[in-house]
Amino acid sequence: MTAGRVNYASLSAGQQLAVKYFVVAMALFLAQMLFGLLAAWQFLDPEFLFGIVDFNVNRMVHINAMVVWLLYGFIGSIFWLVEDEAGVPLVGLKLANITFWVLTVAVAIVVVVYLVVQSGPGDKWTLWFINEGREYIEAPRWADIGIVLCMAAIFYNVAGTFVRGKWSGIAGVLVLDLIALAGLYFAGMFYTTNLPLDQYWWWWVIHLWVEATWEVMVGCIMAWGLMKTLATPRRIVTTWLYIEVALMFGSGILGLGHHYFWIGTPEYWLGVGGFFSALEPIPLVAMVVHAVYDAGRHSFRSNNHPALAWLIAHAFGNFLGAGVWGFMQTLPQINLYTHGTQWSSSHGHLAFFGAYVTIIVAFIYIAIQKLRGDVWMSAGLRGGWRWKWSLALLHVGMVGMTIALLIAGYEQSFVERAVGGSTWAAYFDGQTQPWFVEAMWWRMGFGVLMTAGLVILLVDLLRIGAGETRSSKSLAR
Amino acid sequence: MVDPVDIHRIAGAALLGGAIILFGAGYAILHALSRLSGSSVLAGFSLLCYAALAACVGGLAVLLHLWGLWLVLVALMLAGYFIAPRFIWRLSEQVHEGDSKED
Repeated sequence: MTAGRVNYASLSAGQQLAVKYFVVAMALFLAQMLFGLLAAWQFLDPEFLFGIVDFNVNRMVHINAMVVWLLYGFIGSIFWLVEDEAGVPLVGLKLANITFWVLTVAVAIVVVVYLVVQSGPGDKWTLWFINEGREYIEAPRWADIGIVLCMAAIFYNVAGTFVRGKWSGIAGVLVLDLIALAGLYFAGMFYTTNLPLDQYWWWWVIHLWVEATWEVMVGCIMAWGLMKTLATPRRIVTTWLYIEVALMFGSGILGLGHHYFWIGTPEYWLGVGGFFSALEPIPLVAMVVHAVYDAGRHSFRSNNHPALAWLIAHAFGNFLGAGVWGFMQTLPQINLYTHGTQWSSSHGHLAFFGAYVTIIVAFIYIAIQKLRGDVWMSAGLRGGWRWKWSLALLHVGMVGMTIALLIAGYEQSFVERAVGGSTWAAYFDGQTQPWFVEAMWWRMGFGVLMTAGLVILLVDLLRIGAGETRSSKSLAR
Repeated sequence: MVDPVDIHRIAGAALLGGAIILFGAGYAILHALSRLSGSSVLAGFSLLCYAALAACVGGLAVLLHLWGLWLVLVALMLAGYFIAPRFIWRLSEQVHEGDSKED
């Protein structure tokens, strides 16, 4: 195999499938960014594209594209590692390929329908075929059922492969997590006429997907990634995977309560949500100790600098976005003023980027190294400026946006919530104040910077390793 | 269950909330480094970080009126952020114990 040349045939069937998932994921990442820019501009000029692509549609596509591309990234990563981990070829390859195409065509149809039918009456027909009308999970019911069926098919592929091959700690956690991933989605597939009750179940999908099943999936991907990039022993990553799952579930499941503060649920949720939310960052803080321990006791060498840089970015991003930015507004006394303002948006942007985007990008760099024949991706890499610049621009852009949104959110908390009393008029009043408007300009600027970083990243993913003839060295600890 | 809090206290409370996590991380890093190097100076700085964390928790309690049952939360935060890094350090040592044999 020649280092530096794309050699698709050298990949296993599961890895070839993973590459397809990664390609769609990156296309959707670009779409997410472009629709985000349109929505950001509409904050500054509300007439922009009004009646053509309204703000609510831009925002919906922006968020849905993010959810779907992260899922594609996770699924791609799982298909990449499953054969290596199980030691046998993927079970049900034909079904896995059909699932990929069905899912991708379904996503395309859903987005086209979002854009073509932007308004109209809401009834059973629109619920089934146009838009379910539930924030973040707007996909119509047929697509909901399709998503669950696709997840079930992927579960069959993954579990079947481990059953035929060998089980490991990573395999066990991953298979159980895939059951939860498909199962929890059911909670978002029914309506009740009681709004608090409806919201209660809706949060099971939103919170428990993100802060339970996705976190565990990241744990599995990270564990496998650390073995490959740093040659960390399996025994250690598996032990830490169990510890992480226990810590995350210990505080994360009932941390769900911080979404139940103001939706009409009983008052005890204020205590439960506040209590467990306050404990949620402890695992993140504690993990810092393990990172220092490993860095100090072992001299690891990486054979993939871009992947390692993104893994480090993941550790910091998760800590800052989920830990610091989350805890700033998670206690009910503060959350009373901040929930649903740009303050939440600030936390959401940094947490999703830090916890999930970073790990998927890292994994794609690991995949590309193999796709290009285990090419050299360490010091002195040709065109190495691209991954460094994309990393820097994406992070500067994200941190800038986060701070701008935080300022806008604080202004909203003050003007809209405290002074205006959360009335409809106060909602709009809060968005005309200079602090809010200026912050939105800054957000726009940093969003453009981030988009530039993404374009360089996409070019780098296509070009990295090309023309490089050196092969990566095997790691020795 | 939640006492109303003046809006002017919110910015301070949010900053203290962020500071708690950052000082928590500072305490954890310095504690781990002090154990690695055996440095009592670093151990002292880690305790200083924890003292700053405790001060922030106290400030948060005052600003947000965390009295009554909420004091349990304050106590658990102080205990949790103190114990967790030490607990993870011991776990790290135990988990890596067999490394030399494996290598």
